[in-house]
Amino acid sequence: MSQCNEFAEMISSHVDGVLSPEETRKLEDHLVTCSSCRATLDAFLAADAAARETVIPGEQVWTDMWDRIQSDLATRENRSILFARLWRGAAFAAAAAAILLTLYVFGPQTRTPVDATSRPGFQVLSVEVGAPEYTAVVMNAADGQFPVVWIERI
Amino acid sequence: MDELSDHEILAAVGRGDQAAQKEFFLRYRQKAYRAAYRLLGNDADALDATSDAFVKVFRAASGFRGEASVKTWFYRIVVNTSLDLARKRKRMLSLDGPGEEPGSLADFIDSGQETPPEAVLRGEMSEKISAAIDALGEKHRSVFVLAAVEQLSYREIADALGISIGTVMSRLFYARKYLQKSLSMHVEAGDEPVQ
Ligand SMILES: [Zn+2]
Repeated sequence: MSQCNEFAEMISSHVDGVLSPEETRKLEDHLVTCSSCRATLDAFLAADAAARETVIPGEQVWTDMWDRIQSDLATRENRSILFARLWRGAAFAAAAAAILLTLYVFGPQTRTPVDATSRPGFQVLSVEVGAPEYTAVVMNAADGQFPVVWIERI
Repeated sequence: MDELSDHEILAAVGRGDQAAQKEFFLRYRQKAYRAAYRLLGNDADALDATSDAFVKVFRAASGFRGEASVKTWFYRIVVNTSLDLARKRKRMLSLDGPGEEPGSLADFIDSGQETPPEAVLRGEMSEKISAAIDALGEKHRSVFVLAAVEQLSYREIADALGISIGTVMSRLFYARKYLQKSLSMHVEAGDEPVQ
């Protein structure tokens, strides 16, 4: 059994085909005499084979995915994980407060302000709050119609 | 287009060439989906993660450093995107549980005290393996998927995940031991009369 411990990791490497010829010979000699290690090898191979079996999506799925990728790429900026347009007024203020509160609860932390001025077409309304992973910026769209909350992953 | 290397394709993607994007998508979509499927355990999330990974790849293509391997860089993005989504799903379902720390994984393998998840004990082989992989912590799962499913070399896995080759080997070994134990407990459980 203690001898088997020596071979345990070798069996995993053997499955990946990375043992040297000498190591392979040594392992094979042991496998001849040890049913426990043979069972381990069979189990490793079976698990690998089962894991490789996946259903491959059909052509329509890929076509839809391609369209979605192109549409995602077309939406404004890099690294934006949430780009929400909110109606101005009370609904906007409440929603912005909720988002900022959420960020604050999840991790209050001051960060270097995002360079929101570099976003053409937007006028920053001055609110910037950082959390460990995200920075939120509240802006006015160029047309002045809809305030925007921008949350960006850092 | 199809005789260009991955590096050349990616460089063209970085210059905004849409035909190159399409070629890159054709080359890598299946790999990405297969890895994402095994990292996430279901088709809908795998499709989401695959799609998001390509968006990230295309956006980041212009910043790709030529000396790195396109393949390992691509897999790193697929793994990170998939694990991000997996964490998000876990948070949403409040299903955070044990299994993430190597300690508990090793304990499970060594002790025989704990039992694998219910889903491993029933169901067909494909369901069992999915549930067993899902129960692996994300570190072990990532290594197992890249090695067993995608058949990357230890070096490529180490590069993609930013870990050493020794860590790749030990995580892979523990993952396989865990799966062996989970799946064999199914057989034993099936052989015993129900109490
Ligand atoms: Zn043995």
